Amino acid sequence: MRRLIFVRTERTDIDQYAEEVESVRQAFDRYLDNYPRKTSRTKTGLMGPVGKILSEARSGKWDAESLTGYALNIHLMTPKAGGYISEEGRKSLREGVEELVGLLSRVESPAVQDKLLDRIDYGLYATRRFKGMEYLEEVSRSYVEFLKERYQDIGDLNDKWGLKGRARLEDFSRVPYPSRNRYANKANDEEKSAIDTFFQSRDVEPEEADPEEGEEL
Amino acid sequence: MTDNVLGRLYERAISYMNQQSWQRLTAKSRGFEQSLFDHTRIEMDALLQLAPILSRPNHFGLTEDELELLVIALMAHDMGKQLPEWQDYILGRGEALSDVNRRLTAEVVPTLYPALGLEPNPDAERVVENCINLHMRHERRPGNVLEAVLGARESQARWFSLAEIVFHLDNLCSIGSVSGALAYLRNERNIFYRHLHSSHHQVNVRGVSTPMLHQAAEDAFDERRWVPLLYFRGATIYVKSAAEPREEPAQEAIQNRLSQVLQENLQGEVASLMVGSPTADILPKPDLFDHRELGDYLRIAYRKIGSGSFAKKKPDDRKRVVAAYLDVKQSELDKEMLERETERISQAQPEMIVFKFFKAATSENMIGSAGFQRAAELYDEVFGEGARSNLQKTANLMPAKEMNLVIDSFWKLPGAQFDQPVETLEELDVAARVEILFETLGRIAQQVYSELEDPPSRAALAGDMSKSFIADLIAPTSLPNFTEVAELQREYYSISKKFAGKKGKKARYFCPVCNTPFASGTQARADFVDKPETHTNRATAYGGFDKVFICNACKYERLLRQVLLGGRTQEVMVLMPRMNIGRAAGIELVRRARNIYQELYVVMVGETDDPDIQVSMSLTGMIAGKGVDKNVFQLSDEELSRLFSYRAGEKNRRKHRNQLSKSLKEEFEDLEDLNDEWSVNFEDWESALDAVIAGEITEEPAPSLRREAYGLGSKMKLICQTPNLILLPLSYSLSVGNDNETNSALRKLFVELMIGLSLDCAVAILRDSESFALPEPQGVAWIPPTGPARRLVGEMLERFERKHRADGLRYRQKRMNRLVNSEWVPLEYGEQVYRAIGVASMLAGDTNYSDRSHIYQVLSAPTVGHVLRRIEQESSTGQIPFYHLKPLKILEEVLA
Repeated sequence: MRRLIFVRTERTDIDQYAEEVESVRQAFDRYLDNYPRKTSRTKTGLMGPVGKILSEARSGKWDAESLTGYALNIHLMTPKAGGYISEEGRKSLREGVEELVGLLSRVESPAVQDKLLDRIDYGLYATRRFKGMEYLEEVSRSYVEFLKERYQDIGDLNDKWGLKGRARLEDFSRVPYPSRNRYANKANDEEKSAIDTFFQSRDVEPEEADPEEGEEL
Repeated sequence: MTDNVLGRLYERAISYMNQQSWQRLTAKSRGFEQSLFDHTRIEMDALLQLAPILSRPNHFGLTEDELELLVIALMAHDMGKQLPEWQDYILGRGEALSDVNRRLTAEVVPTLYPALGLEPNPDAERVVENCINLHMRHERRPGNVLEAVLGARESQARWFSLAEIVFHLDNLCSIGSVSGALAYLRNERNIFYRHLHSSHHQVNVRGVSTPMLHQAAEDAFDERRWVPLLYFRGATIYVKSAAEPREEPAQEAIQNRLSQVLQENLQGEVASLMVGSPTADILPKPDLFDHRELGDYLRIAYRKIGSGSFAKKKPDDRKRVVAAYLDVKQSELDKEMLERETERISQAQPEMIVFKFFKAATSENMIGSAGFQRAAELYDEVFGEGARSNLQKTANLMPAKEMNLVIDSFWKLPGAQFDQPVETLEELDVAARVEILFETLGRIAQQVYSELEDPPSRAALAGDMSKSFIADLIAPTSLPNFTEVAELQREYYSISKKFAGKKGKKARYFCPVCNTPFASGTQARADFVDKPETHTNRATAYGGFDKVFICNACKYERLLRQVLLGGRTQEVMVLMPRMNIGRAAGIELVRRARNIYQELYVVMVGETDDPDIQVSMSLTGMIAGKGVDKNVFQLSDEELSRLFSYRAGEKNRRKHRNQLSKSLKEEFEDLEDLNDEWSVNFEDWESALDAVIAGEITEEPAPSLRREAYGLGSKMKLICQTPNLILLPLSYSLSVGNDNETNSALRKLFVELMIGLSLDCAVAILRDSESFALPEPQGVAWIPPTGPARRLVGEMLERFERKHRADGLRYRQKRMNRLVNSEWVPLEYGEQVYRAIGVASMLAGDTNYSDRSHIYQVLSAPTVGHVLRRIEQESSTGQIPFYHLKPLKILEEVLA
């Protein structure tokens, strides 16, 4: 009989790195608050240079300094950035990369490294996406308040916006999001004027929002 | 003090405890689990039950004021347990701490009287403080006792007697076992010993028969003036004044009462169960047969096969049957002859099933050989000499043979014999002929039954069942000779292996369901045990194996489930006290369970104006969507039942309406016919349809057509007799679509948690074939025994526990291990697990995970970002809808 081969598998407790993962995530989140993204529709757009940082870190060929430089270059080359990065952004980027490289250097197993990168990647993605959604929700709430003051009641709004039949709104909570798509394709002059006035009163540019998101609000 | 005054004070105390959210706090967590609310209420309930006895002059002679004081002292006796540091201690995260906090007592007691709507009473408050401060043995140190003596000396109340009552009630209600509680009551050193007789009934938990056995036992004790004090899942402790004679009910009295309870419950709608398959066993459940219902059975038998089914067969098949019937060669049949005989056989087939059922209902097995002979005589008198003998020659459905032997002799009977203006019955229209058949066969059978001393009925069945089920009564009963029992078990075990799955005169079996040795049982059918023909290790690996044998008690248990539900039970929801429960809380639990069931029943059977509103416990995504934001501890009966109701989607609504429309048009030739029949005046079919849908037409067949088109009917049945054990057998499995076992287990756990947390009890959902021998509830919901589901929930509990550790408190590996391997979700984390599965169910359908395991996949995702991406990938716009933001945020807390 052949000698028996005993195999002992060990399970790594990923949760032991939870605090460090969270810290890296927070640093990158602060950095992305200062990153002028081109679009929020795709994951790549939303994550900016952080997506690249995470995939490059996986290779294990970079030290913290050079990876920061690599990310900085991507940032500065982004058309909307205009060759500029704020101090807060720069600081957060450096912190995030240093902590990330430090964390990965303490973990030997490539499988565990992958899991940690995965957690940072998707955790950060969720954070950024939630921020965007919360922003849009807040805009929508303010827009409804604004419309309540602008019109006598929902019937008045329906009449002035020329909404007929099934398109007529039952109450203010059904008001569509003031998206660019709505502005360009569906709004009549009165609605356009309401959208313009609303964003002027907030003194901000309309956030890029997916039309369907707006409809579902 | 009248009961009402005490009752009102009790109600206010319950309301106060609710406001303090004591349901969320743990009071007991060693071997069993109780919320602070639960624990406190049990003690107040016990006082309420004992008050009439303790108020008598020959006992304590408690006054109104003293009873009031006791209620308040019991309500507040464990208030120290609401402190966060004590909660940490009991949950194994902090240092040991006494639940008596004298500073807290001094602060809170003065606020209690006003909070309960009573006038401030400083003297009484001081006594209440003493009762609280001295309710633990380790607090009865000389210094503390002296302080209490000095503090209460101005009070006129018998403070020490009252403190003793609080002390002993607390001890009694904190004991986790029936035997322990009884021993405490019977301990000579305890004050209750001199004042109370104590007794108990205890049963072996088998299934739906158990609540009935509990009821029978409680009724029997009640007849002897015993008062129920504490309810356990398998037992009830009773007390009565020690001044009265101690008379315990005999086992026979309980069995007689059980027979009555069973008889009351066997009145369900079982006719549909009685008629089996025409090609297999036409009378599959002879035990349920009741001779008074034969007419119903025959009508159901008639509907078992359509009158056009033979005509739909292939021409060659029809040709073969017709040739055999006419005893000619197939080549001799011309087309006209074939069509004519096809039409006749088609019409005759439903009548063949009626004869077949009649044959089974008057067989020797059912009515004995004398009855059988008498039935044959009567049958021959009507259908002609030798007709019964011909009927006996038929077996499986063989149209040619049955036409020759049975149908022709019936159809050729002269019309005059039945006052019909036709030469033979064949010339009559089908409806009239079938009515004659029902009437004739029914008359013959009833004549035979009336001559029998003991005609087959469910009344007799109730007696047989009670004889079997009484074996589950452990107390009060004379103790068996354990040596003999062990010897019998050993003997049966040693020889049963060769008999398993085989029938034999000298066979000895071990019941695969309840492990009881028996000699005479029943070969299990597929609707009694899952896959009864599957090989078991309890049989030898060689030789023949038919179907496994089960004992009579297990057979009756399953029959009872089928009678109650009108069909096979798929799953059984079990509601039980987490450890024990008092009388008032028990009544409240029973009342709420009945209320909720009643609300659901009305919807299930369509007693609403919209039959598209239906009930489901499986659609956890829908339930969570409506309920996850609500405080699950405060859900009212109405809210809870509304969460389980939903309105069918537009496609299904249209389908139901079309089906009903089709059935109506089949039933009535035209609208005029319908108007005449129902004495109404509808102008068009649509308005008639609307009226039937709204349930405005109560005349048959409108309700039955509506029931059929909308699939209405009770799909669950509440078995709720006493607070010990409440069962809800379901005729469907708690799963959706392609759910695998893990997904289904998570859905079950969600429903268990929702009901357990809102009704403050422990809940388990078992498969029909699963044993009821659950371990004592150590939490609020039983995790179904599916490996991945248990592992997932264990990991979830581990994560929740780690978060507490992050608060800087001492962490105990032992508790962590216990949580990870727990079979129950503890009360402490019940709400979190409930919300986690709820939001996962809400999100799962919108992800691109496999629909077999999507709930599990969502809950086991490393981060919420993974789930978010899966939803985006599935979405047509690539974006996540806004309504998912909230569930995702909740999920983030769970996964983090």
